[in-house]
Order: sequence, then C-alpha cells, then structure tokens
Amino acid sequence: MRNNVLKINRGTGNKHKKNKKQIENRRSIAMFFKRLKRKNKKPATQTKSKKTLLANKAKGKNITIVPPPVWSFINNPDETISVLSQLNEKIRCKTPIQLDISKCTQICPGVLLHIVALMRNLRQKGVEYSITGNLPKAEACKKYVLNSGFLGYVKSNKLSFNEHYFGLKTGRNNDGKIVAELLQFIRKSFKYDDNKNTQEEYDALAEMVANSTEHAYKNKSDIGSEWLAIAYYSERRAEIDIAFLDTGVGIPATVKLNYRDRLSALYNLTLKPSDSELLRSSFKGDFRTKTGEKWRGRGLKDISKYATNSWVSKMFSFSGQAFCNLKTLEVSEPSKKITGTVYIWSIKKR
Amino acid sequence: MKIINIAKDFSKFPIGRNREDGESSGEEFRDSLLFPILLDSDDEILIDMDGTEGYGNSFIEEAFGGLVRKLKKEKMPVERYISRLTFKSVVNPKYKEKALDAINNAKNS
Repeated sequence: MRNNVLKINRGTGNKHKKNKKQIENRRSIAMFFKRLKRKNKKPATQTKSKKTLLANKAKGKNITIVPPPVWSFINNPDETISVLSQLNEKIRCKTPIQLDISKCTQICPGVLLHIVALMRNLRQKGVEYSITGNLPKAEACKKYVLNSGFLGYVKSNKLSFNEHYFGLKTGRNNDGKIVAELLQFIRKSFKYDDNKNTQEEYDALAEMVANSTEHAYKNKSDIGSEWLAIAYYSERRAEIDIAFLDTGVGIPATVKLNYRDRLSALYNLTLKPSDSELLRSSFKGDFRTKTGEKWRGRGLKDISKYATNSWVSKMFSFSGQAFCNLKTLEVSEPSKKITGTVYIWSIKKR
Repeated sequence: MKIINIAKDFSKFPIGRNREDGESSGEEFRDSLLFPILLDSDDEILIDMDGTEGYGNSFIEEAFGGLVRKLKKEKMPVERYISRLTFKSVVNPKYKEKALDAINNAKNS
C-alpha cells in the first residue's frame, strides 16, 4: 500500500531562466545584477501563500477529495466537472489535499490534462499548493495513469513510458511540430505506411491549437496561457483516444466578447443565450461574422465537420458551462463551469 | 511559370494565422514568400499545396484572403495580381477550394 502512494509535488515558485536576449539588452552589468536581484526576490504573495499552506497543514485542515469511480468527461460529465471544480477551489484556498483515486475504475485523459494544467498554472504563478494522492486499485486504470505521462508532472518514482501512449505535451503557441508528433503516434499505432493521409487530423488539431493561441487567452503573454494534449492507443478497442485542453476563457465567453452584434440578431436581446446555445452555434458556424473581421471564426465549424468522419467514433467539446457532442451537435449543461475548453475524441483505423 | 511548393519552400507544418503566434503562420508565408514573388515578376505562379501535414483554416485564410486584403490596403490592382495565381492540391482538393474561397470572400468584403 505504501508503494502505491505518490506525492504530487508542491509548487516550487518562480524559476527564472536567464534569457540571452534580455541579457544582451541590458545597459550595464551593474544594471543586470540589480534587476536579477529584484527578479529573484520572491513575491510577497508567494511567502504568504506558503505560510497559509503550512498553517493549514499544521492545523490539520487537510481535506480528502474522492472522485467518482468513473471520472470521465464523456461518461460522467456532471460529477467529473464538479470534482475538478472542488479541487480547483480548495487548492486555491491553500488547503492541503489528499486526492484519493484508489476507487476509480476509469479516468479520462481530459481529467489528467485538467489536473496537470491546474498545477502548472499555480506553479508558474508561484502559488504554493499541496496535493498527495494514490493510484487506482483497478489494474487497467492504474496502468493508464502510470503510462500516460501524467506522473512526469508530479513527484513520483513510478514514471514509466509505453509505446501505446503519446505522453502529455504542452505548448504555448502555434506549434505544428507537436501536432505532427501526435500524427506520427497515430501512424505508428495504426501501423499506417508513410503515405497514409492524416491531414484531416492535422487540420482539426491545428484549428484547436490556433483557437487556443489566438482566442482563448485575453492576454497571450499571461502566465499559464498554454495548451496541453495527450493520446492513448487502446489495443482492445483498436482506437486512439485524444484529448486537447486549454485553460482560457472558454468558447462561450469568447463568443460573447467577439460577436455581440451577431448575438443580438440571433437571439432575442431580452433572453441571455446559455453557454450550451452559444457552444452549439459556434460549432454550427453561426458566428462567422465578427464586426470588421468577416473572415474569422470558421475554425470551429471545421472541427465539428471533422467529427462527422466515419473513423471518428466519438468527439466532444466541453467549454464554459456546456458540453457538445460534435458528431450530433447535441448540447447539455453541467451544474458547474469548466475552466477553458477540452476536446476529447476517439478515432479508429481507416 | 514560377512554382511555390509550400512543403519544400516554406514548411511541412503550416499552422495559424499571425506571425506573433508561432512559426510557419499564414502571415509569414504571405509576407516572406508569396508577396515578394508576386511583385518580383509578371510570371504566373503555381502554388503547390501537396506534401504538407495539412493546413488549418486560419493559415489558408490569412495567406490567401490576407493577400487580397494586403493588395487592397496597398491600393494595388487586386485582380491583376490574383489572376496570376493557380493552385494545385491533388492529395486533398479541399485545400484548393478553401484557398479560392478565401480569395473570393476577401475580394467581396
């Protein structure tokens, strides 16, 4: 049992890397050291954050969060989002958390991406946190967590890699090479030859990356403005599960910000369109006309068009307080909001 | 006739709209490759879209729709320049359609 415990690490604060360009631009060595000294000074919030965390630990204010056995956006969206929301809330209150996933029989890749994104976000902001956790007892689920690359982002000696997993990758801008690496994983898993066309996958992923980079974050230079992707090949199902996530403002909020005029025309002004209506409309391509920029906003329609391909067995998007089945454009509303946007889908061999 | 093979002459991984958002963007392709070649001579230009990993919509729109907007902004004769472009996309003909769509939409907006 002891071996089964892994420690999810505490935020380590800002790690400053010397940037060559910055150094070149400094007027003098003295100025450089002065600035470096100032930069290395830990922000007051971090110290306060650590103090609060330690005080909470000392007082025994730990809480245990037990996710549902099926911790999956697709198969149990309401409880899944609710637990992630609780985790998000408690971690920001500097409450030490014990994440007990021992009873989980299914954890979807979107959940792993979400936890990693949350921790990376806090770490980059220099916020102290503490999560300890264990591994699922169910063998398949445990194997999945062990091999997913998730443990590479937490303090654990149980890290292992498996050719059936495209380890978790993160990016901050439009990076076609990471997308191409994922395609390489798809080709290898399905044993496609080099000439097999995977352009449809590239196009969909390129749109997700571009939407995340260009629209998801109010300020692109903000800490934590990045996207994450993960994939897993299931031999049993002969399918690849892929998840893509950003922690930006979410599609419904972007639509509200960018398409106010169009919204008035589409909906009665007295009625506030729900997140689910906005999400469905976005994937239908209703918001193609942004005042002054008539050429923008077609990417989401292309993503939902990709979902209708026969080899895409399922595809969902979760954003704001809504989720959408991209094959049918059916929408639902969970009781809690999700941070950012998650895409989860499975593809079969063509 | 001049030929621009996007995969060989630019990138196998074209992605995104703006240069500031990453490498191999539509803006970079347009400004550093397509536009200078277009101005360089009166030759016809064949744009070969085969051989890349794919294209996001943003890339195609900014490269070709953006070209029309740039020509308009520079007060240059759009039709005279655009009529010299032809597209080849045998592996995935939808890319050619998207490029032509982007050009037509930009002309009409």
